[in-house]
Amino acid sequence: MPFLANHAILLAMALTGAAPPPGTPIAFLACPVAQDKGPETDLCFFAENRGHRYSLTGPFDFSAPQLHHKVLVEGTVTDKPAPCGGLSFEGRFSVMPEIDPSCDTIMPPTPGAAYGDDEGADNETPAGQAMMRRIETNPALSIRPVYKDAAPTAPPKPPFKPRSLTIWYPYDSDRGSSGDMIALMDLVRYAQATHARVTIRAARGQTRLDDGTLLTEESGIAARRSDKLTQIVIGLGIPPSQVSTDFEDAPSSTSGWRSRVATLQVDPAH
Amino acid sequence: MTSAHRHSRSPLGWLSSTAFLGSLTCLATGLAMSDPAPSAQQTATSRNPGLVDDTAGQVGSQTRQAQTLTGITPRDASHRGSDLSWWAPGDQRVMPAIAEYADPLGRMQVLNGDGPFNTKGHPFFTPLGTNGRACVTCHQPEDGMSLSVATITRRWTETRGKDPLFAAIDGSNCPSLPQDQRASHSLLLERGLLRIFLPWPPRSADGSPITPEFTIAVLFDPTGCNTDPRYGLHSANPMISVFRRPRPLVNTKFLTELPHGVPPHEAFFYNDKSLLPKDPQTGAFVSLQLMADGREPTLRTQALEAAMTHLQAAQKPTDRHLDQIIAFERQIYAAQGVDTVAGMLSGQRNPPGLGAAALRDGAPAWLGNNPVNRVFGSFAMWARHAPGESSARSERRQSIARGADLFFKRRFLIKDVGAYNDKGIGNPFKRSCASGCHNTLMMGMDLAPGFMDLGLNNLPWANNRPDLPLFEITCSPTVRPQSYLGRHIYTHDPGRALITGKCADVGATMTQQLRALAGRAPYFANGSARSLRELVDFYDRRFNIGYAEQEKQDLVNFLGVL
Repeated sequence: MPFLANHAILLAMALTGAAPPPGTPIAFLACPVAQDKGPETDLCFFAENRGHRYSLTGPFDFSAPQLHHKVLVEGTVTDKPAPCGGLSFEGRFSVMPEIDPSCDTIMPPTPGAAYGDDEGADNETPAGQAMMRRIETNPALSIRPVYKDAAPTAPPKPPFKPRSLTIWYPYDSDRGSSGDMIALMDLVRYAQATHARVTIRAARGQTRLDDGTLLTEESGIAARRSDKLTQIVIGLGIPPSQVSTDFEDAPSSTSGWRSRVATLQVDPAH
Repeated sequence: MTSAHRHSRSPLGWLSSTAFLGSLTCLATGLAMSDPAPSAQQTATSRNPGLVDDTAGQVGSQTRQAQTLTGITPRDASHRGSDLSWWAPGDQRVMPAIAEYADPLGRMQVLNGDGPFNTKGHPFFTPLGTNGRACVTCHQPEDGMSLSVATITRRWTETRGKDPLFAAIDGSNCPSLPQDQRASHSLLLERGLLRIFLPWPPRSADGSPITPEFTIAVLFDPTGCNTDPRYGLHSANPMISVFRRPRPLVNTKFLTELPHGVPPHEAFFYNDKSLLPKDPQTGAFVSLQLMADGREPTLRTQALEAAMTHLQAAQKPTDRHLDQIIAFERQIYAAQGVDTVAGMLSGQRNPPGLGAAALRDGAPAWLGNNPVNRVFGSFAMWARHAPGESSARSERRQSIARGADLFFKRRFLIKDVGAYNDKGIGNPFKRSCASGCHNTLMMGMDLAPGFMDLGLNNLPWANNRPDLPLFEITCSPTVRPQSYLGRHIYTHDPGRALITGKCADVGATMTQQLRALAGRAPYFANGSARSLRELVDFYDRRFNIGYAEQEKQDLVNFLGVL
């Protein structure tokens, strides 16, 4: 959606008090607000823009709101249920690196309020309750690990086809998420098994905010992303001679969270 | 690491829920400033063999300082004194398979997993350097293989300060001070702190200098060592001196095992998702749980560095000696065994996680912050009066059980903890002691591994410590700031940042195991808490928890039996 049209929609929504309809693109900077939900649960976070509250949820370990730092919220409004009493959006939010002392609000819980996505009791599932009963009769079970290591993955079988992995980043960050790194480890195992070449490319992103401001990541971020991925890939066991690295320091021609990206391409030898 | 950040399969449904998803005026008269070199680039990050064979890169500089310390009368290594509780270097003793040593709250158990142990000729118990110390000097069995202030004070009195423990190199506030005076050893005598001297700028694993992201100035130097012309920041061999407690060399399998069930963190740091360092011998990733700043990756390299610095060895120990030291360290366990009021801690109808045998038999490096494991196992059997118990024992056991419950369940706002809240978990983060940072099954340190700036080193959170140096850190404007203190930080100890050179790491240190606490006060890496009560009080103040008086005592009683 062209910037001016989107700007007009959001402005109209703000003036009328109506929530932006699903599909409306959003991109704004705001202070996150921490909402306390009560003594037995964790906090949730939201951010407000033009009179509307957006719940700050996103992919696991991609980013987590930080008081004392603004968040960059980017995506598209959806009609999905959202915790913390806000609108949901499909996209990403990023914690801005610089400190902003004005971002320091923790809202106390409101008695009777439902914030959605409550965690529930620790042991409320049937399996959990059954385990708790077993511990009552055999306390020694309580010091045995309840988690299990993941089963080793089977070696890949031919035909060996090219594979790729795309990693999106928070603004001005070279930190991939846990899920990204798990996928990267799997990709490296595949590359090792197939004696593949690994090609790494990274980009520097930019974002046009709803108010027209253009945010451009710092120069050098693309090189940092590609260098870090290269170190990881080599550190996980790919010979340096099998790794090619490239980056583009000029800001991406596209705008939005998908512009902050790196790709890894694995091309098997045979 | 929080359980929020795990991906492995669990047999229990609840584990998939989100419940566990886990101004300052210038203080100094003599202000010293390091050479400005605020480049955002760190020149080397890989771990390769360093200057002293296979140790990390800082050891070459440390060794030069340790070996150039001359003209100081050596202490009397042969002075045994009459204190039979002190294990002097060269003593020939037999450590039993399991021994109990009195401590202020009862008795601590030290267990040799390989059976009775003869110290004769063993390198851990034998002086390997020039100052008469052995490893055992600072890792005393009767202090849970650490060193308590009570023991240090007793040793000073017993030997009139002549024991090698008080060696000038690091057993005094600075080698340049008059070594026969008690005041020159005040940090060791009062807080149990040894001087740790680290090169500036930092050295990468291969010994090459790292261009740090910050400059460091000495604002306040009560020991004189950071401004000393021979040992300080502007000496020919530039060094930063910080002061830290010796960590207990027990239960090491829990410290060296890579974390289980929390992929990808068997290979990655949680904070920035860079790779963990590797063992220079094997090439395997290492957990970095051994040292406060993670500067040595393995027991072997730690022993090497300790020999070259603390023991002032003229040459590195032999491979055979290192193998013997490591073998000993891998099989020794310690935990509280008896509480004077609560009675025997292990055995039938007692909490299964207590006592040294439970550690010997326990599985290392698993996340324990779930309703089954509760980090240290169940204490439910002590929650109510049991038939035949005295009222005093019953009350103490119930207090311990309440303390365990508080440790596991009582949530509070964990806020502005550098290198922690900003690693993808949110600021603030509302968790308990167990579900926040102290989550490793049976041990209670952070499985992540967890470097963090709890507030023990950096102002404004640190306790008032006029006995420690105060540094002013100024980070380059081009680097990412420390998340909550920015680019201008006042710290008593830059911690991990003295190894990495990174602004974000200033003040961050590694969480510690919570076992065998009763016999090794004071606590925290800089000895800020003289007692378990002061430890609880620090957390209560730092995080504005608001524990009631009874709750504080319950927590103290709980920590005392671990």
